[in-house]
This record gives sequence, C-alpha cells and structure tokens, in this order.
Amino acid sequence: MPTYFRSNSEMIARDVDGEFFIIDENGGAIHYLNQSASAIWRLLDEPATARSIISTFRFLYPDEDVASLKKSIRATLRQLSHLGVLRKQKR
Amino acid sequence: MTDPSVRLIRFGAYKAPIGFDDCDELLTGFRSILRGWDISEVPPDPSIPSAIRFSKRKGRHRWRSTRLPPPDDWTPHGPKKIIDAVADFHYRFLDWHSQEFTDQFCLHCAAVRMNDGLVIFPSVQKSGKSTIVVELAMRGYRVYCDDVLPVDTKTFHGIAMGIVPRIRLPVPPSVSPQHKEFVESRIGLSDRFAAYLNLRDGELANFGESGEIRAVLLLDRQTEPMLAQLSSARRALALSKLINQNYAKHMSPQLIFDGMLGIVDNAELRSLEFSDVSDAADLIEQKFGG
Repeated sequence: MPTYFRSNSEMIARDVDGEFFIIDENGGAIHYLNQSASAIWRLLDEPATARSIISTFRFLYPDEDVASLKKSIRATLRQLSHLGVLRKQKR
Repeated sequence: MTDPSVRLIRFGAYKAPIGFDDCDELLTGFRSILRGWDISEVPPDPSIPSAIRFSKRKGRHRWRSTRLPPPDDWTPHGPKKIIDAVADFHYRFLDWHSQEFTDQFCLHCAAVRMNDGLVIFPSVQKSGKSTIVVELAMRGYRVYCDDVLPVDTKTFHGIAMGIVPRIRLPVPPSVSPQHKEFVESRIGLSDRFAAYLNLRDGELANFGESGEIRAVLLLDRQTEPMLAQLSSARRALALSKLINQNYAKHMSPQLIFDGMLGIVDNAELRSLEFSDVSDAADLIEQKFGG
C-alpha cells in the first residue's frame, strides 16, 4: 500500500515571497522551507505519493536530471516528515 | 538565612542581585566588561533571592542558582581563570536578560550605529563579524554589540547591552597595521586565546541605548581573494537567518516570526561577499556611513 504525504494542518504556514515558513506553535519551532521544499508543501494540500510528486516535478522541471531530482525529493519528504511538517498516511 | 560574607550586587535594572562569596576579582572582571550599567551593592532581602551565587573554592569558581543552570564548562569543577568565568557568565547573562525582559527577543548578531540607524550582522561562524565590527569602531562608528542584540518587540529597535566586544587572539594576519594597533591599545581582560576590548567613550553604546534597525547585512566571507560586493538579499533568506539567530526561547514562535518579519520589512536587506575586512568595511561605509 503506497504512503501518502500531506501537509500538517496543525502547523501555520506563512508565505514570504513564495517561500514558506512553517510555524510549529506546540513544538516551539519555525521551519524555513527553501524554494523546492516550499513547492512540495504547496503540492501537498491534497495527499500525494512520492511517485506522483516526482512526476509533477519532472513535468515542471524537464531539464533536471531525473535521478538527482528523485533523490532530492525523497530526502526532502523524509526530512519534512521527521520535523512533523508533513504527515504520512496509508490509503 | 543570609550569609554576611556574601556581597550582593545589583546589576542595573535586573531585579535579582548576584551574590559574590569571596570572589571580588570575579566581580572586578564583570565590571570591566560592562558599560553604562548602574552596579551597586545592596543589603540582603529575603524576598528577592540572588539569581546566581558565585564562590571560589580551591582556586575554582563555583556557580549556584535555582534560576539559571551553570554553563557547560562549569561542571564539575568550574573555571580557574577569571576570563573564562567572565566569558561563561557573559553568555548565561543573556539567558538571564531574556528572563528579566520578556518584552524583548534577543538576536545573535553584531550591530553598529551608522548614520541614523543600526546595521546588524547576523552571526555566522567564521564570517569575520567581530573583525568587521572592530574595523568599523576604529573608523568612528559606535558599536552596539558584537554578539547579542535585544530587540524591543513593539518598536523593533535594537537595544545595547553595554558589553565590550570579545575577540579571538591573535588578530587575523590580514588586518591593517592600524587595526592591530587599535586592538592592542584597547586590550582588556584577556589570555592567549581571547580578549575583551576596552572600547573608549563614544566607541561603545551604553547599556539601554536603542536605535532603529535600518539594515540587515548577511556576511559571506570567501577564502579566495575577491573584491567586496554588496547585493540585495531575499526577504525569506534574511528572515531565515534572523530566526536561526533568535535567542529568546520564552516567546511563542508566532510572536518571534512576526517580530523578525517586522525587522525585515523595515530594514534594507543586503548580502556582502568579501575576502578582505578592510575592503568590506569600505563598502559598508560607502553604503551606510555618512
């Protein structure tokens, strides 16, 4: 069963010129998302799998090297999930 | 019960005093790094316990406090040298400041008054921040801090702590002979590795002086020789640097975010790439001095 990622609605997102800061009031932290992490956050208003996020990015950035794009997206998903910025769920 | 051998010293507007038990030289060390502080001995008052009590046993300085944990280096025995004890206390002092002044957040940065406001340099390891601050002091600009700047959450003005800069020794070989001379003529409490600089009247803002933050300058020191270059910094990047350097842990993250955004929205945001401190200071002076 694939894992779906979704932005954590308990956190407050603030948009500063297209880059997001995620405020974790309970955890006492503010996370800065760089441009690509911000793009992932924006996509994950609706749950999506890593595979579908990667295909969206491949469509948006056709000149990017596929292997490094995949690696980078998977690493970002792992990191954001670890911070609690994203939630994981099975469907 | 109060101990009559302990001197209770009140530091400026801080409510609780600090106790010094047989360690007057430590008190002298603290006094030597502070400017514009109203420091006075007070009688014991059981309703206001001391924030920290220092004592000296077997040549080592001890720290007792229910409010502030000792710095890491104080356990298990405490430092021997006055400069180490003062430097450790200096850093914990800033935690104490956050506890006493809850309407301020503290930024890890250096700040210098240039023209009609403060130019701040968020801390980045080995960025040359302290050397640039000393260079600007040498050129006649008033230093507000070289390490931590409290910021009023309502006005977003930076407030001087009145603590003299602390530099690593030896000074970098690349600085000018005038810079070296300036440092040598102001060395205060020091050892082989570090020194507090006894900046003279007018060179350092006194405790409590405040100023509007007019520029945030992100330092990017290069190892390869290059001409210094100033460029615009993205708002989000500047904001992330400030948030990373926030020192106040007592405030809600939303309040901190709004405070930092307030600074960023009211200040000029610049990145400075440089390899030579004097060259960088020239550019800073051209842009913000006058």
